Amino acid sequence: MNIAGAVTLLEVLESRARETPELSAFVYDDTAHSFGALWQRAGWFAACLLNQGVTAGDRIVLALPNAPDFFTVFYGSQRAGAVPVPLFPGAGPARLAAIAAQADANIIVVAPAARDGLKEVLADRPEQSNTVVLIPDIGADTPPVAALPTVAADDLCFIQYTSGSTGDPKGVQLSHANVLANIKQLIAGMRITKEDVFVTWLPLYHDMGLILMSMVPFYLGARLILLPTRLTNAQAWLDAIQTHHGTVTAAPDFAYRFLLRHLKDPGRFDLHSLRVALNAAEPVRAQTILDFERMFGLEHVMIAGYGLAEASCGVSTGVPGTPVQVDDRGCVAIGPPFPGIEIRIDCADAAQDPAGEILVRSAATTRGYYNNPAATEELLTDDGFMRTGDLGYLDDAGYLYVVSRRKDIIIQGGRNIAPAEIEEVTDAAPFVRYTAAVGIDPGGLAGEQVYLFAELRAGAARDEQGLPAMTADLVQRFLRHFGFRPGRVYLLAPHTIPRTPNGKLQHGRLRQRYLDGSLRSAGGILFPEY
Amino acid sequence: MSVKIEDVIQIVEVQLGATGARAADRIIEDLGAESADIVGILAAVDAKYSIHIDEMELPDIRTIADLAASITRHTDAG
Repeated sequence: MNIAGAVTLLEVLESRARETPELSAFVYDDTAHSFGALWQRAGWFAACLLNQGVTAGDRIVLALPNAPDFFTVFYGSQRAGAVPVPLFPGAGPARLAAIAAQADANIIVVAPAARDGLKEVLADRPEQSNTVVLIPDIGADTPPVAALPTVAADDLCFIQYTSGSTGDPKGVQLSHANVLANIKQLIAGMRITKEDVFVTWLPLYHDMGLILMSMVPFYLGARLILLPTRLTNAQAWLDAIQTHHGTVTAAPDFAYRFLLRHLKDPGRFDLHSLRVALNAAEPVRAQTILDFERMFGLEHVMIAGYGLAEASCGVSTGVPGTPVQVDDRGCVAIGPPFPGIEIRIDCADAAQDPAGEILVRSAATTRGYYNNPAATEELLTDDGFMRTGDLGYLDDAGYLYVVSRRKDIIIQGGRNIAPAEIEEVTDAAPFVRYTAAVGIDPGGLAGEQVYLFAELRAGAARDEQGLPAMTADLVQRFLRHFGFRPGRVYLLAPHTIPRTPNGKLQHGRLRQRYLDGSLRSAGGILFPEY
Repeated sequence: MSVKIEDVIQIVEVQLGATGARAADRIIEDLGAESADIVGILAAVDAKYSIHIDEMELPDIRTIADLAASITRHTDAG
């Protein structure tokens, strides 16, 4: 078996471990970790899981930061025939437990600091009997297993949760065939070679950090410099690019905006080794591209990208080395779809307006959401396309422009958050009738933020003195669950969140009424007064 | 214009989901704010006082009292 003939990611790693065992798979904290060591550690973890009774197809939740053990657990789970479910390690224990339940996962692997909180939450859920596992506590003396299960191309490689809503969970199932197809699409579309040097702090639990920035270099045997995820540590990021002569890096637009605003003494960084600085995972601003290239004296290095977990990771990026185009709506051109990816625009009248819903078809698209046939049916068309929910168009040259992102997802700081999941958490506050989460870009540096609107019960609405504490309570609930805070919380008078006759929240109308000021002028906002 | 410190404390508390904050508390170290939260606090301050505190001033704003002083400077200048 060689890499070109590999049909699973495990075969790729096994080939690397056999053919070039000493080659560095990744460098972390100035230490190189070889393919041979990665493969061996993953085999050890697989043996531990098998000792725990894990069988083929079992789901394993892992909530681990960027560090070598992420790969041990991720690939170890696969080697045991199981399916890893990577989650944001900063999320609260309630979210980890809820998604473990949705994924029917019996084992949750966390960092030591998260163990006690998770065990407490699980103790309150007698119906759930998860085992919480720490590295390296699990089976430190486990002997290797002679024969691990065989894994096939159609077996699941991992499940990527884009929403942990109990009512509408979205665990995107990706097979080895899907992921390998996308790796090849990314390599062809972004002109990546084994000579490239990847520098990344993007979280490994999420598709861009996982597939583009770690699986692609693993596939090619390219050099990978892995950094901890610290969004605000621009200096470490740029230092690593400079020191290791990085050629490929990636981040969401807001991370580049933060860097541009806060970096002291940018002149001391020489980033001319960079060939690609991918800007993706949230709407791309043309100004960010101009400012970044001007600040570092670069030309045609920052490219815009478009992708989504349901397509494994990437669908299209700009062509490295070519100028960025912007249309008269101000949208940055992404690029042609990667080789092997078809895009169809579902628009009512192309002559009137070429923009419509973007549909994607390729070998990399998901078979659907885990245990959610209704959402899967909505996602996939009969002819094998996938509905992205995003609005865009293709220009005459076949370049994709994304006009607006799907309305049922809020992107704050590069993180996708489903309003339904937020509302399940905040609706539990005893003083609210309903809550509604909406994405709003207040126009500053941070970009789109979660704005949470909480409609109070009548008694609570009369308690004027208590309003600040209620607001703080909602922020705390959000923080405990998701591991970060919303941009703003508003408390509303009873019966002010617009709903359809059958009770469905109208997020779009609420957003509009907030932005045009009518929500406040009609006395709908009780707190705060700004 | 004099800025009431209790108003500034309240803005920080509701943005961070904190209670019992004091003027001398450091916003990041004592109250656990992330840098993204600081952006949210500044947006709230800007909205309440109709001013604009530039993020370049952030290194000088560590405590709630520092933030109140900055607001006072901006409202006086306006």
